[in-house]
Amino acid sequence: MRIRILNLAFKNLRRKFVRTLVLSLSVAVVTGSLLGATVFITGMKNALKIGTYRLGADILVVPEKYEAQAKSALLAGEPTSFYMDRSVYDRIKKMEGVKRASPQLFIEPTSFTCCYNVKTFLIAFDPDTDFTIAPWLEKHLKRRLTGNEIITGREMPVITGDTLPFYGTPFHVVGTLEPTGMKFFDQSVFMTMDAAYRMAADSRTKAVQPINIPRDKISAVLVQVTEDMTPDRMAIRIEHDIDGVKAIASDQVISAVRRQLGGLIKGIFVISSVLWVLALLLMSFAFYMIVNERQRELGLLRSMGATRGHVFKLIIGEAVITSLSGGVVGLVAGSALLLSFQGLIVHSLKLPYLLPPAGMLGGLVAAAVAFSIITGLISSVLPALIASRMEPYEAIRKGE
Amino acid sequence: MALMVAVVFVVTGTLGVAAAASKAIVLKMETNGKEKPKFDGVAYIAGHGGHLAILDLRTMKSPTDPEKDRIVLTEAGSEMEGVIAGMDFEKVKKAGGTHGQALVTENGKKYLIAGTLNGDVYKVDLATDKKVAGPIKVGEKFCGAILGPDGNIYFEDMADGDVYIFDPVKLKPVDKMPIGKAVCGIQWTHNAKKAYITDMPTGSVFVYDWATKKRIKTITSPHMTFIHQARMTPDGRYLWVSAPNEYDPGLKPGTHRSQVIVIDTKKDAIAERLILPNNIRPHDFAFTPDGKYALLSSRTYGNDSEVNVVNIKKNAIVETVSVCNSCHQPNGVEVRIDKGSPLLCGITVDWHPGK
Repeated sequence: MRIRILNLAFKNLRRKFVRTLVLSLSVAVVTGSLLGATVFITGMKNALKIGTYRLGADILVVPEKYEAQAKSALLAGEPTSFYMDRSVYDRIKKMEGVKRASPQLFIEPTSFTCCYNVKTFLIAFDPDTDFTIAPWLEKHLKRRLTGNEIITGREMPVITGDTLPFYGTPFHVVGTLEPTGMKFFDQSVFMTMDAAYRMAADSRTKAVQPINIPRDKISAVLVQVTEDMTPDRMAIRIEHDIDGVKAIASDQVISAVRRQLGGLIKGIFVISSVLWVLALLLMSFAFYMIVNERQRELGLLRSMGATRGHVFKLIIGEAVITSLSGGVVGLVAGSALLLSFQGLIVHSLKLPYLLPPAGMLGGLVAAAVAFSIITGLISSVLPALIASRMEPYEAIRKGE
Repeated sequence: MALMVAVVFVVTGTLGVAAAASKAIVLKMETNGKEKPKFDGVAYIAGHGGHLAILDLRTMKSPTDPEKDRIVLTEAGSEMEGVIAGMDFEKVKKAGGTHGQALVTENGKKYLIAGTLNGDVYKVDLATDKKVAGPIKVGEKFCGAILGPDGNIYFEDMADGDVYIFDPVKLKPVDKMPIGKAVCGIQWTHNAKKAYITDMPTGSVFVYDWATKKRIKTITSPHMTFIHQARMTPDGRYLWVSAPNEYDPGLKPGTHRSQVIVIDTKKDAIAERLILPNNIRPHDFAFTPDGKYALLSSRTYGNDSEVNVVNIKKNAIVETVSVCNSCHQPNGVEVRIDKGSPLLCGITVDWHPGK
């Protein structure tokens, strides 16, 4: 009779179902938490990368007192309004080391104008100098925005062709940006500065709650630096030469978030390592006990013609099946938990988040599966070696 | 020589100017001699403890009064507040020990612009010896604070290797220049065409064309394994570089003598080396306006740091004044940071203070 090692391993595991279940769950917890945390952190990094690429600016210059609001707007999409003199833009664009500069207006809409439960943020740009929205317009709309046309972020509950009123002025949606994970883009409405100034002027007669934005006011200046200049140096120069402004280098914002994430990653790594070591110890101990209690069975197998290799493979096989099944359960549970709670976590952390692309997700899942297999292998090597080295007669005698 | 150049290249990673053949002069100790010079000036000396020690050069009497003989910028080491229980160097660095200060005059009033070990900047009114501004966050970990030819203060950063340029009037940074690994001092030729910047762990003195801000030379020597500040002699002919050499390359324990490296600024090569006793590890210098004497702010790595007066012509140390222990000891202060050693840093002298 030919006995297949894998079948035998399955049968043995089924025979001790509760033990198998407990061991599998221990691997599931480690794999699930590790995968969930890795996907989440990768998602945040992904959003930062895409968001800053979309922003296209090395430096964001805002009024000095509004640094915190500007950072909060950039990272968490918190709507805000602040203004400074347009002369700031005029001075910045002439500075040595500045490649391109473009002004923007940030406007917080009234709470009752738009858009259901989404916190909308109005951002007005200068079509002549803009480098944030212009690349998208060139690619998708192939023309400039005119009149009261707007583009919306992906999370806005509107579609192209819709009309949205802001401060009494109806605006026509002509496009939707691709998702970035940064609410600054995903929950915003983009219009030209001309349209924004007109909307403000008309609000006096049209809106319940008017807004006053003189044409010589802007909220921010987005700056790109020349190749021979670094953003942090240029930020120092801008702050020195222009009183009352704060120049926020985008890589400083990103590195601040990365530092925050760094602490999170370290914590998760430590917890996961501890859990993994515990799971390893638990499985090693369990398989050592399994080998011990099954000495007679293994001795009989050997006496029936099974080689040392067969016994080794049997024990390793049982461990790998246990850890692999645990890994798969962990993958499913981890993914489910992440999908269920990611919104809540992102909201409480106030950080950008965008699910990594499919290729990267696939890689992470494969790595998690490999990790669970390795866990099984490591935990069972020693018990498997002990089992394979037992002499059949002695094993049967000891096992009686 | 080829071997020496190769060694320098391997050690520093740059092909610099090795000056192994420079003249070595062992400075004589003549502190017990007749020469007891006094000067019309007041020296302000930074230290890891977070305050500036005040040494009146008119009397050359060591500071003893914690109220009058120091300016407190931060409570970094708080040596003067009594025994420091368990305070380690890391905490001191975070709190910001003082490290260098430059003297500026504004509307006829004298101020010190000082940098600390946590990259903060303070402004001190010398009429009252009190802080009038700060902390202003500028860099990461400052060593020197040097008045530049443009009137700005140049802070050398030991953490990121950048030189931060600071406007002492607006109290804002103007710019920053990435230079080395852990820069400590900067000096200029009198015509401001060249600048010399010291990089501590590489033991290099970078020579910059100041108009283009391009590095034109790197001066290295086997005798400069760990260097600190640099100062130009009043005639502008020589640059003194402090090479206490506490460490060998790779921050291994130092095996070289403590010395001053004298660089000829015309040749940008080492002219001579002034060898010091091992208990005199200079960090910074101040020259008397006539160029006859140099005041060294030196660490002993024992229970004190000192100001040593060097008669340049005689190549002799003619006076040594205790600057730390003279005040710590009578006031019952025990230094627990830096292995129990009070470490002095930059020295700035207000010549002809008139008060």
